[in-house]
Amino acid sequence: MKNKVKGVRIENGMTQTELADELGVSRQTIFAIETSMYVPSTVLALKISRLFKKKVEDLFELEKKD
Amino acid sequence: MSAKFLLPHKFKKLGFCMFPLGLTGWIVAQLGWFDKFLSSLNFRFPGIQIILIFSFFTFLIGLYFIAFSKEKWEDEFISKLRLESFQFAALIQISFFIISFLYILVSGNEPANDSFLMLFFILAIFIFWLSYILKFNLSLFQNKLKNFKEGK
Repeated sequence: MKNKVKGVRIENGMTQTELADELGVSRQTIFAIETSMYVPSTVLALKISRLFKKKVEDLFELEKKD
Repeated sequence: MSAKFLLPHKFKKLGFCMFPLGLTGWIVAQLGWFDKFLSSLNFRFPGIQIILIFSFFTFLIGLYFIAFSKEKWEDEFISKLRLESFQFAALIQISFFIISFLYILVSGNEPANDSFLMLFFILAIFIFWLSYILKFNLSLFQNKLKNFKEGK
């Protein structure tokens, strides 16, 4: 699964630490999501989309292998 | 793993102190170095068994603290790493069993006695927990290192 979390975070002028604090997760988790090492749970994906006021589909995108 | 089974983060540091201390103490006591040292001082210590038991329990409790302590941020990504590490440890343990039994089958060297068999099973248990701790902490370290390099 691809995601645009990094781009949207930078657009919003947030650091990984700030985003992690807003979501109540670790900076490691944000890094893992941004590098597609980890696919977040539905709850976390919804929290991210709500924070950036975007649809989940705008942030996360399925790939062919999914 | 559900966080309700985990100890507070401070226990991890305590575990990392207790684990090597207990292991070293146990090995030193097993090798009889305590006896040699105390007899060189002309001091007869009657309870070497007490040292053995005490050091082994320190080692065991240290292992438990390391394996079952929360990280500073215990979130879903850490839970995923824990699950992967448990799977890895289970794979290592089952491989250890298969290789050992194949070795016995091929070589015909059966365990000499019950105490040898007991030692074998204790080793299998420790292999599981040590593999889990190693895999989990290595995964955390690798992730931190990648993040650090990316941040540079």
